[in-house]
Amino acid sequence: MFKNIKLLFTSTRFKITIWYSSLFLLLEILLGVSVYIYLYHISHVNLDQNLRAQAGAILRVVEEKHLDLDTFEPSSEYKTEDELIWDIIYDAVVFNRRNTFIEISTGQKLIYKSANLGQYHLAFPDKKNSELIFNYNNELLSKDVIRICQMKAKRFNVIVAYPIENIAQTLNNLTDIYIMMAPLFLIISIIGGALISAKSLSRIDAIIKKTEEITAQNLSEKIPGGEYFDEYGRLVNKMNEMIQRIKTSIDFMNQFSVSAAHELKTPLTILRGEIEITLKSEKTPERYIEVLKSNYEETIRLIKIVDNLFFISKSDNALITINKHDVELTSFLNSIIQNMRLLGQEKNMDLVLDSNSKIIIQLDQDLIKQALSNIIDNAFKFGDENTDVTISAKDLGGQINISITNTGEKIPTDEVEKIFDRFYRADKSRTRKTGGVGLGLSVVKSIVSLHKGNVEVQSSDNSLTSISIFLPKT
Amino acid sequence: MRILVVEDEKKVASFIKKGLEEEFYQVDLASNGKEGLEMVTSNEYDMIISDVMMPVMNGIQFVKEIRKNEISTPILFLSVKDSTKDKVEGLDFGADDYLTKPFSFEELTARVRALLRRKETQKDNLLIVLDLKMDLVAHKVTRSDEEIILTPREYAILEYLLRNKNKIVSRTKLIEHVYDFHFDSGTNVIDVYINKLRSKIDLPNKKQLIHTVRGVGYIIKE
Repeated sequence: MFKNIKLLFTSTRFKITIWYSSLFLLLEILLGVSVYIYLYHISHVNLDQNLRAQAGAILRVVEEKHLDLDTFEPSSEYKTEDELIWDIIYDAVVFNRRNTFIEISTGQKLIYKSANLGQYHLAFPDKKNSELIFNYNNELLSKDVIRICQMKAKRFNVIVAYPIENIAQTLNNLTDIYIMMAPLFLIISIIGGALISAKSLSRIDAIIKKTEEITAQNLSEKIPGGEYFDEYGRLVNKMNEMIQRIKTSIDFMNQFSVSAAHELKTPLTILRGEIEITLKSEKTPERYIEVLKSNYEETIRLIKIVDNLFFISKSDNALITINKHDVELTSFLNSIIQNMRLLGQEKNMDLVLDSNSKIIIQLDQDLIKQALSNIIDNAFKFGDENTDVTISAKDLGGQINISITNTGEKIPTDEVEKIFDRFYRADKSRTRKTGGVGLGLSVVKSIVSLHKGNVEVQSSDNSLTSISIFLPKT
Repeated sequence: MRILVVEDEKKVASFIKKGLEEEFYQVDLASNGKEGLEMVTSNEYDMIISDVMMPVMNGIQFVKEIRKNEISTPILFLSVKDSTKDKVEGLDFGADDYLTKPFSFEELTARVRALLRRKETQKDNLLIVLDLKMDLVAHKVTRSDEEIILTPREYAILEYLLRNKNKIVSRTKLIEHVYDFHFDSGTNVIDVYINKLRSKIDLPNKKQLIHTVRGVGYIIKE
């Protein structure tokens, strides 16, 4: 339970929702504040403009009429003073949609006062300026500040006033709406954020679910969603590619260990079987010696397999370092022959060297020795009884050629190239001719490649099979 | 009991042969399925032990061919392949048992005994006629609880007779099942062995168990 809650609070969905809602709220506050400031500003500017326009209009009207109330003479247009005044009032009221306070005076004489002023008289000191806008406080007229616009022309003084309270009321209403709506917006934004993040993260959940299911046993399965071209699609594709790479190397490792186990199992079968049977009942001393000899051979075979496996795994991981030294080839080959010759005794085969020229070459003695003994091993294994295995060395100028030839069955043409494949022996199609090669020749190939040389097989109808190594002299 | 071992790895084949011979079985060797098939079709075997991965003809093809020829000899596979898939494949193609290398020889012989038992009613490792008992694990033969010492060949003949008790066994059959296939069946060597066996088993004061069926062969019965 606790874990689930912890998981909820640490989930990306939660974080995104919180970020989203916080941002939303912040934007809302910013918007509210700016709307408030803007409206406050605009309404004040508007008020001033309106007041000014109204005052100006009234002033224009009264001035344009060339009104001279002090020296009023009835004319065709205005029979009486009242007519003139009502005309002015009419004009003024037309402009007075907002029910502003209006006063028109000339000198100290009040000509007109709007009805909403009641008993009050907005008497301000006569200023020189033709236009004044200012705030005015009058408790009796309005609790709030009154904005006054006083406009003066040649003779008339027009005052238009409006309580700011009304604007403040509008702004307060706006603020109230904002404050009331804020929690609602917040809830909506949280729900919205949660939904949006859930929607967009549901594919992540699908990826997580599938990733959990994928183990070494089902690496061929794919994470769904690779068909989209968005970030998730790319992520899924990259993950699938990674899984494919892991699968390839696991398959390779499995194949390697299965093949390695197969290689090791044959000598182990022989060892176990022979020892078990020998221990079952008492045997003659000759029999014991015979079994021990055979066990020794199998032990050597195991060591060789392990050496080859170790070499291959090192070479796969690029851990083989090559130590080249000047070597006199004929004596080097002679020393190998002395060591390997005994292996042919069982089949009455001998190992002969066909080289007398003095060739100096730079090579890694240990590695080349391993390569050559692997080839000689095979030559003995697949060569016919009572025949010789020949090692020849030739100087080809820039490179030298070492060939090991044995007499025996021809390797089928389609299998020639395969004999250098690792664990070729484990192949179901293996035949007597190539069976048993196992790792030996793939080690040869690796070693020769390390020397920047190459290796070839010739298996001809005249029952001669030779494996030739070409090595650069330096 | 004559067993054919089909195995391309010489040394494996050789120790199996030696070990089984110590258990008084007669063992022939073939180095691949093709060779094995020739031997199976021309001789009668009580059992076949075969490798799976072999050149020329592998174990699976070998078993298929054998079953195609309607030969129902029990077949035990020996293989380095230890996956369930390989075992299932081997058994489905007609093998009766599957043992992975490297195997315990003791287990191999136990499985051989089990497979040989299968076609008979006998369900343990004792072959009994009246008071004559043969213990197939200890290779001990007793009559009225007295141990009788037999040579491997005598043991093999007695085993074959006991496995076919109450049935007439011809001389040829006996030769086929207790000698390897190089043996020349023209001699009367079987009669010699039967006489030796009789002198050890059918003592004068006991009831005669081995009977001669004139012109045909022998039978063991109460």
